[in-house]
Amino acid sequence: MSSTRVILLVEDNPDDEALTLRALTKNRIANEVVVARDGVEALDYLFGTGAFAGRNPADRPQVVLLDLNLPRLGGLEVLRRLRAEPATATIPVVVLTSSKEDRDLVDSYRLGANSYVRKPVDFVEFVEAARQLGLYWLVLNEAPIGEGPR
Amino acid sequence: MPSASDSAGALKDRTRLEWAADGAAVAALCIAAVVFLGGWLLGIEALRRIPLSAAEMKANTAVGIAAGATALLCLRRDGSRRQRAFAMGGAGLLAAIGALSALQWVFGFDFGIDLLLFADPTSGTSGNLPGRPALGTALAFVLIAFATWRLPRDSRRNRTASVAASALASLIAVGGALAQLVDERAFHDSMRFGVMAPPTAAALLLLAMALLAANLRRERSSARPTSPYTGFTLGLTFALGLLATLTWLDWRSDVRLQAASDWVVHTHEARAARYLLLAHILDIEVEQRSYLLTGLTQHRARLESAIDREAAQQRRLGELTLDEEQQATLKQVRPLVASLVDFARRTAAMRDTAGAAAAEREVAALEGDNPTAGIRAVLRSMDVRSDELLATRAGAALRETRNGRRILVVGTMLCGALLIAVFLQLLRETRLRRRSQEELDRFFTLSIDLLGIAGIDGHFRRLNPAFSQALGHDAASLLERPFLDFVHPDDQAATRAEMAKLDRGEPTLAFENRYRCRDGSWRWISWRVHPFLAEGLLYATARDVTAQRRGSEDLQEAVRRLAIANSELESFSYSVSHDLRAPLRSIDGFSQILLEEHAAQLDEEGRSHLGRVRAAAQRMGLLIDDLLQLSRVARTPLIRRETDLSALAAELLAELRRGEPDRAVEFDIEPGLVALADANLLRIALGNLLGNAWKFTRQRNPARIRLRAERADGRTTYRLEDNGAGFDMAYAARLFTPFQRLHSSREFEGTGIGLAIVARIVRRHGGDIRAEGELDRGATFAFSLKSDDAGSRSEDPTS
Repeated sequence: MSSTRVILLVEDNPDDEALTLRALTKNRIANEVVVARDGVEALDYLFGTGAFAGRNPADRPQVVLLDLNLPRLGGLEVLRRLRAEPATATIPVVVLTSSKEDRDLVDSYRLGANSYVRKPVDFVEFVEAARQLGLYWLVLNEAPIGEGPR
Repeated sequence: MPSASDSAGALKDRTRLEWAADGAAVAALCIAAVVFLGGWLLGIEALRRIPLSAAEMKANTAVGIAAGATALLCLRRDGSRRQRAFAMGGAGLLAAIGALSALQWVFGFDFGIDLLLFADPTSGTSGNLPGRPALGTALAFVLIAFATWRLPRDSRRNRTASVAASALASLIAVGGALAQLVDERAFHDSMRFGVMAPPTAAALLLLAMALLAANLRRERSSARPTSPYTGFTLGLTFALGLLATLTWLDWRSDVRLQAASDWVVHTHEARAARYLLLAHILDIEVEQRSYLLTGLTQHRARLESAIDREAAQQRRLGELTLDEEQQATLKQVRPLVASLVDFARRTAAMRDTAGAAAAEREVAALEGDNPTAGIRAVLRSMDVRSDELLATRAGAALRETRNGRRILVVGTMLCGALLIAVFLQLLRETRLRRRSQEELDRFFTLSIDLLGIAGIDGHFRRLNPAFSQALGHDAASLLERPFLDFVHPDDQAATRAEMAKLDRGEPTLAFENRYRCRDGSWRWISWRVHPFLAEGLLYATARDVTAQRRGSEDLQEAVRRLAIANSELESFSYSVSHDLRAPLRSIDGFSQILLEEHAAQLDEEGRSHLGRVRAAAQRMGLLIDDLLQLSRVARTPLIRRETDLSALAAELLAELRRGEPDRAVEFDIEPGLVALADANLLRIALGNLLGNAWKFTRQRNPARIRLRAERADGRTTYRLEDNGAGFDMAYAARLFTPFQRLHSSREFEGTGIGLAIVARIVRRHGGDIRAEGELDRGATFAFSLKSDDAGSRSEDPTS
């Protein structure tokens, strides 16, 4: 049932990266997780440019877990650019951030985020959140079919 | 001239005096009119003709005067409509009598109104038509009626019309009175349009004066005063009219005096001519006798010469004798002279032919019937008649002299009075003007604002001391140079543009530029200028607004700084929200990982320590969240809507109950509590309050939570009561301060920020909150939301 496509985690904080990966692992999510450590790297991965030149952009991740507070290129800007490209426009994006600001929430949804999840301080709660995310985006949710060649 | 302390009281006294005076005058007129009418009614001529030698007052005149006086009496107070209607009726009657009589005079009509009331037994004695008021009287009636009709209307034009009409009427009355001075029946007979009776003239004058006084009174109390020039113009017209009348009368009197004197001279000439005639006749006789006695031819020649002279003189006397009676008498002289001449010639011829003795006999024979005696008798009778004429003519001359003298005296007196009146009025005007000038000058000097007059040419003409005080330059140096010299170089273009606007006649309402002070600093001046192009002058009031400008600059700077501080605070909050929580997550997360992965390497105490690390990290997370909420509550805009507090409370309590379904809690929420408030903020506030109540009643069974509203003085107070742990009132004030807790977190968990958030939300709504409680006896939080009574009118003071 579970798809084998990759999960793109955009996260600059190594602690958060480790915790997120652990939360996913603890929930037995077996998808390969690609980590981009800033906005530019994330876009390079998605568009097959820069360090990821040669990667087929049509090979889309199952879901993008996107932090907002990123070096070089902010999360909201990443969101805006990937939604602007037809190839990446329909990839599910879950904003995963510390921010509780209404402004960030509204801006994310306006730019086409599919979910907005605030990282709880309590790791137990975080694990629970990761479980629900995995269940929804990797299992229950049906991605659009037939977009672009594989 | 009233003094400066001339108060309203003095004015009132004066007005009262005037009222009494003209009231008495008008009342006297009414009585007089009734007396004159009585004279007609009872047929007593002495009552109609005062003095007896003058013209009589006609019945219609008396009626008209009574009507006019009554109308004025009715108009004395701004009385009822009925009084006013009565007054207008009187004026109408007056106008009708005047207009109809005047039409009769001018067009020779007879409407039959003259003798309507009474027959006039003394008709036609003085050029008057029986019973008809003189034309002057009629015209004065029309004018007075018009003035009365206009009197109650308080507008400048109406008042001017009323004053002009009454002034004209009084002029006519004065003319009529002056005509009385001419003591001469023939003059009165010569007046084609009747003669005004002396009492009529006096009555008309009184009426006109009362009208003028009434107008003056209205003028004083009116909101729309007439220009002083109107009064001057009227006075001048009146004076000129009076002078013209006087001049005419005087000129006429002089002409008549001249004529009378001519007559006297002529009479004397005629007498002299008669004596000369007699002398020539005696010459004829003498020369005849001399010739008869001497026979000298020279006497014969002289005789012929005397005859010639006599004939010439007789012709001349004929020309001089104008009186018909005298002319008839003079005709008797001619045959007598002819017979005398004939006799003289005959006897002279007889001496030549029959000798002197025969001629002397002839003369002696005639002695008894000498024509000379006849001639003497005739001439003497002419002298007698001449004396009579002389007496009459000298009398006439004397009368004219007297008339002239009288007119001269009265005219001089009137002119003198007029001059004095004009002089007094001028004096009063001058003083008033000087006083108002002084007043203006004082204000001009005292003014805090800068006041000035400038020419279109760009120079100041006059400046008040405030100018020098503001700028430090003395007045002379400010007047000396064009004012643009003082204007800041950056403001010169704008000032020139403003000057151009003024030059086109557009006033400056708000213009600011900088002026250089003596010490080299600049001051902002705000201008309000009005151009008067006809005079080429600009009238300016200005104000030194340097302090305000500086203040507003400071204010703008403060606002700018505040905005910066706000945005800094915002980004600070944002960073706190993001960056402070990330390490907490790591602390909590890796502690958990340690507990899960390396539990075996830790003893019980180590695991307990890690548990405390995790609890502390989570508590810090909560603190951060609450602090963020506290700051967000202050920053988000307030949007008031009708919000159902009862429904909101029920919803929040249901949520709490879902969290702890096993607790026994009794709710008592007053239904239908609706407030005009921001629903989101109110949800946060109520959530905190209800959360507290829920939390602190944990040890009660059953717990009671109650929400109700109290209305007092138009203000609604919401009271949330619980039967929980309560608190010591001594610490009540600390409740709403962040981080201040009255219970240990071991007893009741919490950050100590919740009530601070509530208080901030309540205050943002313009309300206030207080807490009442007792340890272990429960707590009550009472809060108000100002919008309840003030409605949507109340604005949020912080947003």
